Amino acid sequence: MNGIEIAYTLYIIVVILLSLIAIIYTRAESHKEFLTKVYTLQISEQLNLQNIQNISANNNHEREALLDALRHIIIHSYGIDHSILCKIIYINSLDKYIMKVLFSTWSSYRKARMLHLLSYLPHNYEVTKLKRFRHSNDADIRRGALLATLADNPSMAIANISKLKHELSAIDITHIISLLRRNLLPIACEPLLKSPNKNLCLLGMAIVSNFNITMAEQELHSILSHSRDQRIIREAIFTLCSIGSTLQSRPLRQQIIAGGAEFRKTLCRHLSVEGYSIDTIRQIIPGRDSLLAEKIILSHKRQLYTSSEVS
Amino acid sequence: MKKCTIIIHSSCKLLLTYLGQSLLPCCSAIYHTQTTHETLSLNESIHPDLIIVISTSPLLKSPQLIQGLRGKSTHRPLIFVITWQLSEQVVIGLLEMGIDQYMTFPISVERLRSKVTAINYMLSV
Repeated sequence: MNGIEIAYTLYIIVVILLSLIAIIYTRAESHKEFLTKVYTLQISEQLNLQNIQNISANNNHEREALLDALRHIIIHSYGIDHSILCKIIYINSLDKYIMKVLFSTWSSYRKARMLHLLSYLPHNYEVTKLKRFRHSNDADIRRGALLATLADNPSMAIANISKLKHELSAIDITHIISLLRRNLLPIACEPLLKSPNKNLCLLGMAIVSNFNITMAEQELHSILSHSRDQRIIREAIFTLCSIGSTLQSRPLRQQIIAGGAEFRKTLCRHLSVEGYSIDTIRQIIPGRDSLLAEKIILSHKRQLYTSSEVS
Repeated sequence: MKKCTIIIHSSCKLLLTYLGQSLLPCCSAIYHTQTTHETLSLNESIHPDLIIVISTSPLLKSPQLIQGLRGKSTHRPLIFVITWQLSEQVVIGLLEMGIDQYMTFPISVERLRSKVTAINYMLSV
């Protein structure tokens, strides 16, 4: 057997092994998908009938599927009976399983996934143990730990956010808002907008734009006049757009001009999506920068609305 | 009381399972579809009372879909859209296209069930 034949044989063996691994992985994934579907069916049946029968997950594979089913139900609905979900978690020791995986795995992805799962589940876990993950260098892990902490004690959410040493990213804020929506927590946005803490101010503006609080317009204009932070100024302008403000004030015009061409382009896109007319955008953004808005407004999606209105 | 027939259109199998199972007590039959073509052909064969679309994209991609589903009849079947999108433009656009209800996730299953029960009453009168 010469060298070429040996290499060829090895190549064939590697290809066969890789194919086998791919087949096993695909089968495991499809089995997990099937299990998740079965668990979803069982849980929704129990939620309908308000009774607790035994939903059991006997191994880690089944526990992962059960966790996925629970997460799916919790994300998509509110007002469900949490005592039933708690019972399922308790019977199958899902909280202990998550904690075990969290502290034993080396994978950052799995850690982040487990922390995110914790933030969705009814709270049976010890939050103090998550402290080390809140200072992780991995943004996903840090976000997961923050969400789990906030979900554990929603009444202390603002205090916990104000203590953060890092700046919240746009995706962090989106996750926090979805958590607030899920827990139906009413938060007064005015104190947040007036807060000197940057994270709280950003969260306040996200609440204003998500819940369309038009009464906060005055505070947003005040931020534009007094703030020196470029991110806060930009977020304030975007928030004003999202609540449908007239955008005519002088500080706002000055900030738009000072923002640079790239910012004006982003703003143009934002204004078009929020439904401002071409004439209004031309008034707000003078010159060639507003040409982009015309393109966006006349794009396929806009034409779609127009055609549906005509028909 | 007469119970309605429902088609749930979604590309997510888990959501189909969850909503289907949740609405089962208050309807006579639930059919699941994953593509627009499936929804259209099933609509022609079973004539449902309600179609729940769990996405805005099928309706935004083809604005004539609602006309296709309803044919010449004015308001049958009823069309509910459940989605994550909160954008005012999308909501107004879809309502102008002719959908009957626009709901956003997370939804209350109880509330959705009460809406289906209201349709049952309407059918029984």
